[in-house]
Amino acid sequence: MVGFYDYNIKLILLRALVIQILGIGAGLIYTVIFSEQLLLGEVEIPEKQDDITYVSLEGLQNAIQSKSKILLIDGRSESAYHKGHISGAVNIPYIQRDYFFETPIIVYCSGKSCNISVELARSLSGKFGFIHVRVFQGGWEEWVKGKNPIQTSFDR
Amino acid sequence: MIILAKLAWTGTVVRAFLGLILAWAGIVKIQNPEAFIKIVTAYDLLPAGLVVLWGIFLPWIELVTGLFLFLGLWHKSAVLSSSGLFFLFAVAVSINILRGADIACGCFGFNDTNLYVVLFQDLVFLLCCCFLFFLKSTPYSLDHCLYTYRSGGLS
Repeated sequence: MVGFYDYNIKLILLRALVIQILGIGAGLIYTVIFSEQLLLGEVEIPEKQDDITYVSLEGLQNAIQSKSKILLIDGRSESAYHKGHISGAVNIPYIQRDYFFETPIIVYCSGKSCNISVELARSLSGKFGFIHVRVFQGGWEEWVKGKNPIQTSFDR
Repeated sequence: MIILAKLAWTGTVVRAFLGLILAWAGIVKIQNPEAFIKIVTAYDLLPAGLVVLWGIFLPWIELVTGLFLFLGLWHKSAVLSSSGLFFLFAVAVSINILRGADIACGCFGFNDTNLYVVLFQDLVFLLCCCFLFFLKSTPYSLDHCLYTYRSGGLS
């Protein structure tokens, strides 16, 4: 079988360039006709969204040092999180965010006599939509009685 | 000769497959350029102005390259253009893997894909391009038809 080959490297490169130009030309014509707002820069770039409140490094440091109640979430991958993360941060990998509400949650309070863990579990599964919510009835009392490891806020 | 003929037919299948993949990837992005621009922004590799241009023109370059590849017109140039695209994608994805960033790939739509799988795909496609580039001929290509036409029906 005989083929039609272009062995001339200049010709190959020139034609590759023509393919790019054809693509750019088609894109330009299409965009001018159908979505001119893109060329005029009227496109929403995520970083510039106003509905997000940003925090500076100092702001985060202050929030952590003042022991204010913040939930620090690390959106990177699980492997990046395990290699190192800001103290106290929990990991919700961005790629798994749609499965966030499938995260198993175990709620506890002081012990069998308290009821807030049950109420909290109801809120988490009802209002917030978490799917796997369970209550550890024995709570803090049973955990400590069993000499299980504990952590104080000062350990952070 | 039999092996060469088989290779040529494999080339046709690979060429058509890669062409369709690229054209499809382009069409999906063209339908929703703003979503694609947001994904390009998340890659965090280009300044804001270039992000928009890239978001507008890349899908069309993909589509046109895919069509050339699928039709088998200017075979080596189309393969070279595809290799360039797959190489750029592989570099962009690798940088974000090294950064530990979890971003949507934006390859064939806007669903999330594991970046390692995307990188593997890109490398496989690059290998396919190498195979096609060094292949002497693929049947059922416009190049082949043009050659046959120009040489007076001799094939």
